[in-house]
Amino acid sequence: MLEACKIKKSYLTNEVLRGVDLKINEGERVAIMGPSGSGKSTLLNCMGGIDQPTDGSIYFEDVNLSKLSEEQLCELRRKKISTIFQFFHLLPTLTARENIEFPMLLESVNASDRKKRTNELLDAVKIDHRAEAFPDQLSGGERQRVAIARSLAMRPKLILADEPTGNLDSSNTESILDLIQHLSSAYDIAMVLVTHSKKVTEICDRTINISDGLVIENED
Amino acid sequence: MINLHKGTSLIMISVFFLIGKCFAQKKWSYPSKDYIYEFPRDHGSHPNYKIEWWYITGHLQGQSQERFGFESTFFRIGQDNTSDIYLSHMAITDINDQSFHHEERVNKEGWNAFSKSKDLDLKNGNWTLKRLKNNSISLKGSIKADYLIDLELTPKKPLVIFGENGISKKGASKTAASHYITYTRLGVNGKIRYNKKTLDVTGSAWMDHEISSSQLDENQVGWDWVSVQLNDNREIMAYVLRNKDGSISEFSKLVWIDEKGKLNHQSPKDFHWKQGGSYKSKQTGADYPINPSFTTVDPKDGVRRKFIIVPLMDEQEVPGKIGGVPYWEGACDVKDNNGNIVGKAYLELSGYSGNLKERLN
Amino acid sequence: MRTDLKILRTVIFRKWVQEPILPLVLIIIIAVGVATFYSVRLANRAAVSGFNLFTESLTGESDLTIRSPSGFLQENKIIEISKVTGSLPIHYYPVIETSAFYDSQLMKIIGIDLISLANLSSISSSSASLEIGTLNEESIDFVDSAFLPEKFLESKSLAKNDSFKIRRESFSYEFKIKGSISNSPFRPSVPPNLVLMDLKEAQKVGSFEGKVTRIDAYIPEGPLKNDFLKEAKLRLQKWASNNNSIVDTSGDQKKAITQMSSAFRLNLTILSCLALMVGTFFILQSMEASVIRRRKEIAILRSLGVTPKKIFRIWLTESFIIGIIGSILGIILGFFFAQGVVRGVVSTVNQLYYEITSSGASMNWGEALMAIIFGVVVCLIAGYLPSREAAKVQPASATQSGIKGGGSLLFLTPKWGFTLLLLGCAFSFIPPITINDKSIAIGGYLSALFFVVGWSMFCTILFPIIAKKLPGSPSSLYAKSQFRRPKGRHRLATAALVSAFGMSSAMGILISSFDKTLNSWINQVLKADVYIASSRGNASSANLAISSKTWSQFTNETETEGMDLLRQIRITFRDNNVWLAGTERNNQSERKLELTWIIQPENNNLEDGQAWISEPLMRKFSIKRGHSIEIPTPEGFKNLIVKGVYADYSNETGTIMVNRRFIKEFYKDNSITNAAIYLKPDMDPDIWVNLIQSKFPEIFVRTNKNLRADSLKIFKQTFSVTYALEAIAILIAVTGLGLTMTGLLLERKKELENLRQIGTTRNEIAKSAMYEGLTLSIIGSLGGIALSLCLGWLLIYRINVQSFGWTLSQSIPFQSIFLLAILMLSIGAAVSWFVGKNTCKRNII
Repeated sequence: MLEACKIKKSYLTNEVLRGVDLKINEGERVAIMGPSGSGKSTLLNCMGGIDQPTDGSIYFEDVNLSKLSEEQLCELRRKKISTIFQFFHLLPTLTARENIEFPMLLESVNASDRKKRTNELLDAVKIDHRAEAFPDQLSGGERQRVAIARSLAMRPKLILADEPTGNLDSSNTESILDLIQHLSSAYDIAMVLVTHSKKVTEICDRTINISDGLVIENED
Repeated sequence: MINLHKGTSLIMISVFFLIGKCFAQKKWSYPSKDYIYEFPRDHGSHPNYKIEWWYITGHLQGQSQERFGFESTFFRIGQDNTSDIYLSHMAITDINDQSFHHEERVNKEGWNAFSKSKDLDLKNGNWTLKRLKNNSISLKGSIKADYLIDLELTPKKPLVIFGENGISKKGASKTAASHYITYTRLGVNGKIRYNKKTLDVTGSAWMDHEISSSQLDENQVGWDWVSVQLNDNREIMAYVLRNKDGSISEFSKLVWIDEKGKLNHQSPKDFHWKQGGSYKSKQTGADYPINPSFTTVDPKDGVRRKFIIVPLMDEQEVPGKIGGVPYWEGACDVKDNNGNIVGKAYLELSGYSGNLKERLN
Repeated sequence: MRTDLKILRTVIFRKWVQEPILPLVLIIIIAVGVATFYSVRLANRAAVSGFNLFTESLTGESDLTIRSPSGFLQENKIIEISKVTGSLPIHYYPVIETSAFYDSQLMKIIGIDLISLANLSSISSSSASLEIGTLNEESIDFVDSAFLPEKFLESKSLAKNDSFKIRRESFSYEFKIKGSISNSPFRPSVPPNLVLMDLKEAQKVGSFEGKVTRIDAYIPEGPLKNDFLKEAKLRLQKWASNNNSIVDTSGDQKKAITQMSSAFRLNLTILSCLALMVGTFFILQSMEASVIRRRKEIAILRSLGVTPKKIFRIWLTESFIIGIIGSILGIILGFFFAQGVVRGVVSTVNQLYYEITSSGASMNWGEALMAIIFGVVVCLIAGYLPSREAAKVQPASATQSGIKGGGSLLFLTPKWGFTLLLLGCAFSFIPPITINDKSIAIGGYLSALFFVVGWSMFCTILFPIIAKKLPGSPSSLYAKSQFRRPKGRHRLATAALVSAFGMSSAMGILISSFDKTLNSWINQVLKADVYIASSRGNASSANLAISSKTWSQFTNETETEGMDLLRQIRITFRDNNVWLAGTERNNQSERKLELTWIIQPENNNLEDGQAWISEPLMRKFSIKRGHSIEIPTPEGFKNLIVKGVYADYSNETGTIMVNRRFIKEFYKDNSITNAAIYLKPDMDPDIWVNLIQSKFPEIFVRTNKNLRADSLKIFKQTFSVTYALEAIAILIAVTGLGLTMTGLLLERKKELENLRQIGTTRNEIAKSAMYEGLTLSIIGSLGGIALSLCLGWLLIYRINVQSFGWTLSQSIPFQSIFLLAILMLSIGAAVSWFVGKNTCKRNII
């Protein structure tokens, strides 16, 4: 589904990725691990079309991302690839429900379908009782559930998660990981999770280790 | 064309220029031996004469040894086509303070300046000179906002008329003459207001009243004049008319006035005037000989006496910006040959700057 | 102190270098605000200091002046006066000031004793007496002679000994040019239209023999001057009170005259504060935003041990520095603005109040200092709350993510706004206070302030309502969501828009009401076909008059139906300069002048012993119908009973109208200053005007149509400065809106990145910003309209009445207000779109 070939990324004189190759298959869960500064998040951003590699290519469904226009990338991020962030990145002025609805609004989904889907997702992430709360009224775990629900709104093919449990306590971590595992299987969504945590790798099909901008090993 | 500088005025020179011009146009009277003096009428103004002045000088002292000299002059200058012009000076020498204060003013005849012709009654702004019912003379004046004076002058001796046959000749020309009336000694009582205080003062004064239509001869450039009040109740009046070539005019005069007011006239043959001292004015550049001396035969006893005029302060020049005639007029002590103070005087030195003759003719 | 400077340098100034736009814009806002204020202050100064008594360029300012409340003083009074002060050293100068025309140029004639002028150099060592370029040394005879300014002679190619002919009424006077007058460094510049003559010569021009305009008195310099002045004033005032005269200083005189324009100038000053006031809102919210954005930095500083007090000081210092830089820049800008503003102000004052002899705004360091202080204080006020906010930041915030709430401005709630509105209503009923004879509508001004702030806060109640009306789309959802819990910056931005819109529209209402009232009044009073005046509308030259010999030739049986006559004289009434107007109606025409009555008299004819007064006079002196008033005349004070009060918009100094017989009897004056001619129906006014003008070239003749046009032109001109100030306020408001949106969006940069990350395009984000800006603009406009109606009412029914004494008919310029609203919305939307688009970078990271 997604193939990264010899990805290089530099910021000024700092070469963060030095030629990364990887493949993500449909439906699989892949963990990317590595020490701080190894280039994990950078690789994730490149895969999601949020950032552009300085060299190499990323193909998503045989489409070279670097050849896509800004508009096309936006469309990609709306429909095919969504992202879950360590710090949730919810819109603070929208309620939980509205945050989840937002990607559907961007795609002009009609109101009743939106409502139905949102309720489904609220239920799926077990946050329906907090649907009308604002992000600053939610706990960390609840916020992450909303973020996960939002990422599923348009039934993407691929979800990229950058340290999804990095800001959660251990009990929330467990429940979120369970949720991720369950939802990705239920919806047959490929997931790439950048993490430090061994627990995350436990729910993944394989782990890619990165160090100094290069893939060191690819474990199953 | 006249270019006027800052601080000088519209009238700077014209007042006196006019006199010469008008001479050609109007018929003015000249002093004549047939003139019959009548008083108090002749204390007043004589409009048929072109130039007239009332001139008071004096010495004053306060109760705490404050010492002043003062001068007050009222000129009336006749005009052909317009009203008479009144030019006045007032000056005070504060001897203790060693400061000299003066003011000049000019006004045309009208509500602000006049001289009555029936008696002594002069005004130029707030400066007035008037004969009072008791025969004293009131002099009121001021110098800017520095001094205010209010004096009463009482004649101590009879009025004198200088010159022969009532005419004081100044030159060979028939017209170079004046009627010269003087109170040689007046007692003074009054007040001076200055420095935020009012001081009672007493002293003595000298008052001249000259009436003429011309003063100087062609050849003359100025005069040195002195009025002396001796401690023995006698006075001396002397004037030395200076010629262009530096010599002294034969018409110069010295007059003794005795205790009873009797006059003894002396010509330059009989008295000898010697210039002395020097004061160079920063304002006008004139160099005044402010320390003259003269010798004269005392008519009382025939002894030749020497009198030295010692100014009480050097800087007593009236710059005469309005009238255009600067002169030195200052309070002096009079000393004898032995250096004793024998009297007081007022010395006047004119014609040391500019051309006085042109101004007065 | 050193630590403060270090922190200031690293945290504040480095930030300025990195992000220069914000501080630059703040500095510019302050600069524009201060410049506006300063330029108006300089213009006002020029309107006062530019007024010098004409003699001052010759003699300097006198110490005392003796004059008659009824105009001219008898010359022979000088003898009594000089006796009163006796031996005090006072130099008196009787002066004649009159006017005449040289060709069509109005010349000011000063007659003074030219010989006595020489004495001024004796009075003061620093005073330079009159300098005359050339003098005819042959004579001091000034008969038929005049002196003219050097510049005037050059411009007219005249020289000494040339003939100089002037005309006054139908008489011609010829003089010989005797010399020129040059400027002195110790005096105001010689007005270019000055003609100097000896007193007797000047009295001939206009037949003022035996009369003088006033007597100036000078006391020499010296240690006793103040004592002499005190004594002299005491003696003279005693004399004056028994002799129908007034003694005052030239300062008093100038004040009495320049007082006439004081209401106008005060209102202009208050208006000039408008820009700075509007700017304050934006400065406050920008600084607030800046604090919130730098919360992390501040927290780090705190965690390193910097005390809250230091933080407060440093942030307040930033405000102070912005204030200083902006204010200094404002002074420079203001000086240049002033050259334009002064033209408008001086022109108005010349037209309506008095002639200004020298104009041109000059730098005034006192005013500059005041303007700088004003600018700095505004900045400090604006910076106070944000600085306090900064000081409250806890060290723990350093480790927290996300941006915390709306800051200290959340007190700007509708509840507070409503309270202030109530206060505003209450204050509007407070009567004016009188300070130095000036009526100050203090209640009105305070009420205006409360209304402005009150409405600005109250209308934030509209946030959710308006937001709800936005179209349904992702962009508008995001925009709407901002107003659920609006930030303090939203409130402030709205407040600024409301105040700018409201105040500008209120001025529009005032101007429109003036326009309506004036038009209606003009229609009522201008019924005649032709209007004749002794001079152009310039108030100072009203001592020109048309003699009976001349005006009796205006009418004849074949051409005219009738003529109304008016003689206006400036008098001193209860220590104020007012007009005494003698009127006579000889109109056989059916068209009649109708006054607009405030209090209608029982009888439409003005009889002997009666007076009608103008509304400003009634209000200024609280005179009612039936009251007796004392009018000064050359023959003593005369009592008249007030029978009616009429509206008069031609001046706010006040007019007492009497029958012209009063003037003839007590002023011995049969001349007129104005005539209204009613022509026969078949007579073409334009032809008639040409005939009369050619016959009498020195008078001013206008048809009804032309006079209306001229009057309205003057009216528009008087408001030209007001229009400029309104435009500046709107400009600042819109600039501020852009600043607000920039601040808000920068603050939400991370959010915007998130939006982009989840697939929102830049255009959609821009649209969202546009909706947000539009919401603010809509609320600003709606609130502004409400505010403008309140302020309009206040201006018309309170402030204007109390300051000028005029009753106006309200008129609301709906079209202009609507257009302004459209402008505001358009610009608001455009600016917000632009800011939104540019806040999102092309690359998300």
